Amino acid sequence: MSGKRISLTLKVWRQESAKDAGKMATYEVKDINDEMSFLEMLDVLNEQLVTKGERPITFDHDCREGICGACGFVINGHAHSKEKEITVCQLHMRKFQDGETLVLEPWRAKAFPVLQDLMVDRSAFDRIQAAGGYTSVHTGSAVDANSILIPKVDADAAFDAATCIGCGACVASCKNASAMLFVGAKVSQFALLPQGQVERERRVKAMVERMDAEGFGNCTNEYECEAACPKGISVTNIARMNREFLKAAVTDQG
Amino acid sequence: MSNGTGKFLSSSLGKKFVMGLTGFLLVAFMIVHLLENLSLYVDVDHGSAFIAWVEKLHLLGPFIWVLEFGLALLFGVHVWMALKLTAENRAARPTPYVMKKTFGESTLASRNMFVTGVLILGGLILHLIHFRFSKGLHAPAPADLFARVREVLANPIWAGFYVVFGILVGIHVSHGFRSAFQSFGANHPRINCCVRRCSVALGVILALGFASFPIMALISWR
Amino acid sequence: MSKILDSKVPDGPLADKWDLHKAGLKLVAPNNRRKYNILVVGTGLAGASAAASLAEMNYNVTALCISDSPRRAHSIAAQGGINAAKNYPNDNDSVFRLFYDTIKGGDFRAREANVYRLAQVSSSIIDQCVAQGVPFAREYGGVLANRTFGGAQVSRTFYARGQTGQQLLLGAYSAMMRQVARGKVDLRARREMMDLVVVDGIARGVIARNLVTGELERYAADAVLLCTGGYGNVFYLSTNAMACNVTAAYRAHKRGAFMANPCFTQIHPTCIPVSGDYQSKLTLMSESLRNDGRVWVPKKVGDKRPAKDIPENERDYYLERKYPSFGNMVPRDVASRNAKMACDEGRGVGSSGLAVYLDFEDAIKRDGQPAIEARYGNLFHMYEKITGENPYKAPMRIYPAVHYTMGGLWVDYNLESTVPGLFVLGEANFSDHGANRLGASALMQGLADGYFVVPYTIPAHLVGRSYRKVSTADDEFRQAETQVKERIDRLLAVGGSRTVDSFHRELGLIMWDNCGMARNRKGLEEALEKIPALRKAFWADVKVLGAGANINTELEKAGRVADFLEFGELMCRDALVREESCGGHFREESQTEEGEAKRDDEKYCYVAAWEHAGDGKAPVMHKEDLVFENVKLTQRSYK
Repeated sequence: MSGKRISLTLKVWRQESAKDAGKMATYEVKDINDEMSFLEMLDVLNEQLVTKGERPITFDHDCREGICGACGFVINGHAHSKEKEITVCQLHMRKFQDGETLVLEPWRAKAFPVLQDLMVDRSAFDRIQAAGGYTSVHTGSAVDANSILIPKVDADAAFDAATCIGCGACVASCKNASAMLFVGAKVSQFALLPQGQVERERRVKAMVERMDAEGFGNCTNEYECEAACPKGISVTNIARMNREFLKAAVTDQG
Repeated sequence: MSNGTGKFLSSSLGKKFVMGLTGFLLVAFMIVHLLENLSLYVDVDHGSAFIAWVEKLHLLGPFIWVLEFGLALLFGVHVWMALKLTAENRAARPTPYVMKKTFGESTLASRNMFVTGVLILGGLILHLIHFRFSKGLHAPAPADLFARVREVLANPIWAGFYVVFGILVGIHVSHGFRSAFQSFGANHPRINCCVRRCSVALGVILALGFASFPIMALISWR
Repeated sequence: MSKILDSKVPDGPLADKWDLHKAGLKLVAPNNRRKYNILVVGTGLAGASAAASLAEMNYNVTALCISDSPRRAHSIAAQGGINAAKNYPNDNDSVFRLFYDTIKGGDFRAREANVYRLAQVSSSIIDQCVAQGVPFAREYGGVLANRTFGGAQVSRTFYARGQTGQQLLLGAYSAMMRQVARGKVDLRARREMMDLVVVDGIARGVIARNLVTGELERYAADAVLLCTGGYGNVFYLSTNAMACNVTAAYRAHKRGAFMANPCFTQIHPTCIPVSGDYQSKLTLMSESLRNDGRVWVPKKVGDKRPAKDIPENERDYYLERKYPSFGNMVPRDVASRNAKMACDEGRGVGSSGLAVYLDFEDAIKRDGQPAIEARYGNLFHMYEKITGENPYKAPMRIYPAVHYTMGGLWVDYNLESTVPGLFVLGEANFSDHGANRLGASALMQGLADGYFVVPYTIPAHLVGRSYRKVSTADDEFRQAETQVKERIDRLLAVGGSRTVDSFHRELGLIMWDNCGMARNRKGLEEALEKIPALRKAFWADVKVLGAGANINTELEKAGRVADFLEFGELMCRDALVREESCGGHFREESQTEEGEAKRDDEKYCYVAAWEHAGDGKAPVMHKEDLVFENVKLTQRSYK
């Protein structure tokens, strides 16, 4: 436990609402205990702003332990910071040097309009999910759980794909603001499981169609999404989605 | 075109697939083209091997028109898709980041596919004017073509241009080839390393190969 | 016993109660279901599963979600697993055993019939989740894997690595999104319920605030489901997510829903301790660490030497000393309480003095680092990520933290509150865990309520009562909206000098010190004086900037803290009245000579359900006597 004190300069994107134009604003944060988490540092700054009568910086956050996917913004050009496999809420101030300048920007994508400051609207992900990210099984109609045998490797691979927290870092870090890793992960989870086979073709086509309609960019296979993903989801899921999509185009009717 | 095919081609994934497929075929063409060029080295001064190769092509008769048309179509589709994809990608992020770092497998080549693509297209048009359309709509006779090659490459400016052209093609392919595998869904730990190496190797071979002729010309034909 | 509290528990043998009850419940014919609107507030495990199930049946569902997406709900943070009486491992598990373990784990303060039903439907939950594609852990043969969890002698816990809650939530969420695509669920994200609308004594809708535009919206329905989670954040610091709050439940309470056993909170012994006054959130570490870690503090008060400089004979392994037979593996509440006692004596470690050591040195010496790594690698990694310290080299510092609330709105066997038409599901109700919840049971309860209980009991309300058609233009909605607006305006108009968080922190400290791990009359009475004073200070000196007509996160927090400031008082009152120790509720006056919790079944074998009597008036307590026909009440012992 170091408990060192550091001071930072923050350049933060401030934007009143979706309709307004935004701009960068500069804040000095002094005497920060480096055991704080990054969001706690922002809490401290926000309390100071409120006391001064200035509107605090808005950002999405909830569980603060890296699982809900609510938080996320870009720090110095890196989604969720340059640390590997973490969300912003898991970032601690000890990773920074005294006197550093940090640039904080919201996820930038047409499909993720900024609502206020660092808070964006990611409902596009929900709409993609609604397009096909499920198995159509009514409550009460399920067979006994152990009547569906699933090889452990498939279950594990499906789990790896299913760990996506829907934070949007993949979109934010992609130079094309593409959502392929998010969609690929969901498509893969079901493509790998026997439960997902019935709707396999329909699912991939519907989800890709929705993804395109939301205005996400295309994949140029540079894997920045994988590098930024706090859960380390692999781009092999995108490849699997590509295969599924091709197969669906060939085999599916209509 | 059925509705399903249209939907496939207008989707993001479909476009990437077409991009990769046309790219692959264009790479295949370029390998053949490079082999043809290599025949220049057989008889640097008179280009007999080169002329013989071109003559064989001419034996195809009207079929060569079909091939040329197919090639033009490949290029056209590749370029058209690139324009659409790039436009979509730009539109997907209307407000740029103030500060953006690159990571993952992002390389100079991958980030600049559009730039190298546009430059290659420009270079290609000049290249066609130089050689394919030097005598109008009909392709020049094999011997005339060789003479034209000597004439153009004797000019240091054009020689330099073709060196750059070759390098750009190499850079473009070094990402494009690997990328196409992913677009086809071919991503597996067992092949990824090989694909990556092949892609770089292919880029280097094409760049060195194509750039070597103008250099040879500067040395031998001046 | 108060007449109002009719638990509606059916007669008949325990094992047949639910079937008999279902057989008697009224139905709505499939083609009539589209005539009914159902409002689901909260879209975590309970809410999403209920919304999906009801929409599948063809009811029109409107679902309000406080986050930007239902997938953020705090159900996601549950790590360990979900219990079900499948008996797949053939270790003699049964519905009765799961029922018995749950009721005993809850220290005999839950309703028998509810708990039995929970155990009955537990198997169906697993079937449903697997069909949805939830990637549970599997054996090489392809069958589901099970593990053992606290409070049970059988392996009945299903899990998806350390992210079971996440995977189950995503299953319920995707089932709900399927209904969104069908047009049967109208999902409204970033909406916070501000008040319940009661028409002719029946819950008929809510007033919600659009958290993006700031507009107040009216929602009318034929039934309202509250699935809004627990109130652990009344302590300010807890393992709950930041948005967890009591507002929806408390607003319903003020509109007539009784609040049951609010003092029952669970405090988890192994959390990463507070590192400073800026701390916003606590993180849980699996309690399995106590299998190999030794808990200790220095013997000397105020000993600030680094752990490695404190010699063996100056260390106090207090759990091993006090509980020689159970040692470090005493139950959660005992471990938590003892850590608090050590720190209260001034022997706590770390910069805050509010932590104890969990030392793996001996285990590493004994088994070698690789063995420890194999067992706890991911936990050690998580600890290092948060604290920046390497637990292989220096002992971990841990401290208990609030993480679940067993209390909640009172519901009958149909999960209906004392306001007809208002159903309460999941952690928001009080029904199944008594005074202490067993591990891996929270997920089970949320999904049981949503998938398999409420879809059966709601139709009975819809067709069983006569009530008029309402519209959001009705007076009751207009009045409720006006009251909400006035309250928001009041918050914005205070224009004081202190931030919302500063009040919340202060309340949290009062609650933690007086209504936390150990409670006594003096402390609770003190808290009952301090909280109203703090509430007064809040309304006189809070500073909430901006306007109501935009995103205003400070205003959101202010509204929630204002409700915590009232609810905290109710908790303390409940804790004061219950002069026994049971489960998570430890009254220092009621302990054995060895300092263990002493239940008083003679006097306190009841559910305390509090009725709001009006602002400024003392709430009225009603009792629902707990009748145990199938289990024998025993005192827990760790000898």
